[in-house]
Amino acid sequence: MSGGKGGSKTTSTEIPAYIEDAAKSNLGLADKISNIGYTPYYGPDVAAFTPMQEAAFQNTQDAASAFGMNTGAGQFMPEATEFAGGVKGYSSAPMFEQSVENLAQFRPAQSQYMDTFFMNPQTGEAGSNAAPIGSAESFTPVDYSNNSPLGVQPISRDTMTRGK
Amino acid sequence: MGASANPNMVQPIGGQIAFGGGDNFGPQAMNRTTGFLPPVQPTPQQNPFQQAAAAQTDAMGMARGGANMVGSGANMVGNASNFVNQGANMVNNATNYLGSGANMIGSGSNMIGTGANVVGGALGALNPAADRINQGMTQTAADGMSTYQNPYEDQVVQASMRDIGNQGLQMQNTLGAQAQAAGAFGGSRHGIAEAELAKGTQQQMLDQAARLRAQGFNTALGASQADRAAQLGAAGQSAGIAGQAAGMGGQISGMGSAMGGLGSQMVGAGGQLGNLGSQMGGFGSTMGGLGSTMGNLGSTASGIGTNLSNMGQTSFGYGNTIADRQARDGAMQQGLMQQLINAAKGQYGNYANASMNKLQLPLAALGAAPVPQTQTTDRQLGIMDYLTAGASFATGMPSFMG
Repeated sequence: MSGGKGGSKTTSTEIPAYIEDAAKSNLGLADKISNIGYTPYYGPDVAAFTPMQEAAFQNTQDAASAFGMNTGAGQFMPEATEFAGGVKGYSSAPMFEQSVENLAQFRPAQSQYMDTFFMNPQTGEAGSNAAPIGSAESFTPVDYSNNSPLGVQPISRDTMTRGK
Repeated sequence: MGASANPNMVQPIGGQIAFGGGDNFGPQAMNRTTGFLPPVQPTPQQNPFQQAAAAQTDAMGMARGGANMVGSGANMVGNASNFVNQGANMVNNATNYLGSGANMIGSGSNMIGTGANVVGGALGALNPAADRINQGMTQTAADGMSTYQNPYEDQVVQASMRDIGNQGLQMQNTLGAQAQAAGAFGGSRHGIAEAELAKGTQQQMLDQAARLRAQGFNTALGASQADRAAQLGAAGQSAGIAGQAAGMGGQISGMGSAMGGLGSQMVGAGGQLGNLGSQMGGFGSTMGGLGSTMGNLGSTASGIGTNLSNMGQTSFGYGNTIADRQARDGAMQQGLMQQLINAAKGQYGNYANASMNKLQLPLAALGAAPVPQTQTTDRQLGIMDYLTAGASFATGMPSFMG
């Protein structure tokens, strides 16, 4: 395609109908998917220190103590959370939620407006700006039931918050 | 290695001697049967850092103790040298005391001899005086009168008698002349006058003789009395002087005896001083030996401290090596867990993005990428543009996985 003075050259492309339908369907699907919003990760992000590492830490503290020096021992490190399979680690989810709550508290307008683009993660009600292309669709969730084939239970809120 | 049931059994020195805590170097009661130290009781197991710290503390204590012992040993050697010198001085002073004491004894003996001589001389002077005084106690002045009587007394009396006789004769002649002149010569009155004249002349002669002889007696008696008094006085003075001389001699003898006693005391003191000096010298030598021993012990303690320090360094190295290995192995374990977490996190991401990935499936089915339409200002969009726009819309959403 090229254009000149006083005129234009238009190149047109013929699109097959099934492709156009598929495109429209994809756009509608994307519109719906965009309604989902952000799905936080509640699993561990960082592996906790192993007992051997803690033993090494303790030995270093003992060394300092043996020579009468300040050991630096204390409750600085938060207690790790035990996840499925006995994996101990730390999750960023509590700090993430705290940040979201802080945003809602300090800047409620921004926070609430952002939420209008997505469904309510608890009720499934679509936000007012959830589907700019199509019509916003609300989703009615059913009550939670454990469907884990391995029988893994979700971690409790208290454990997630406080560790252990 | 535990303690034996037999408390008298000497345990081999080995691993049971724990230097931990820095308090195992105190004096321990000796076993009265064996004479060895009792077996050291095992202490709770300590980690290498505790051992290192304890060894380091003990090493510093030993080093300080060793340095103090060396210093004390040097001081003892110095003090011992002073003791020896003082002992030598005391011995020298004792020698001088002995010499002075001997001289004083000699001088005392001489003074005693001098005193005896003085007493002897005084007694020599006292005896005659005493004899004279004794003699004077029974003697009278009459005994010595003959010495002072005039041997010419009779001649003086005779001369005086003659004078008186001549004077009587002259008077008789004068009387005869007068009587003859008066014509009474040979008369009775003339006889009576001559008788009276003779009587007077005779009486005068007797009186004169008695007066002369009494005068001689009194003169001899006075001289004899004066001589006797002078002799007795001189004898008394001589006796007094002799007594004083005897007293002085006695005092001199007493002083000589006292000086001899002082000399003897001085000799005794010199002997004691010499013994003390010898003892002091011996004590100084012993102290010097102890000081040298203490210095050697201090050097040994310093050496032990150095060994302890090296042992502590070794223990510290052990501890560091173990801690480093623990940290390394623990990091390996933690890394494995992190990999597991990352794998789970990846799976969750795939799960959360599954709906979005669903949008990619039609594109994959078409097997073509959107056609660029950028050369014209006005153009119709193609199906690929729509599909691409749909996909971009989806990817423009906030990340589902963060």
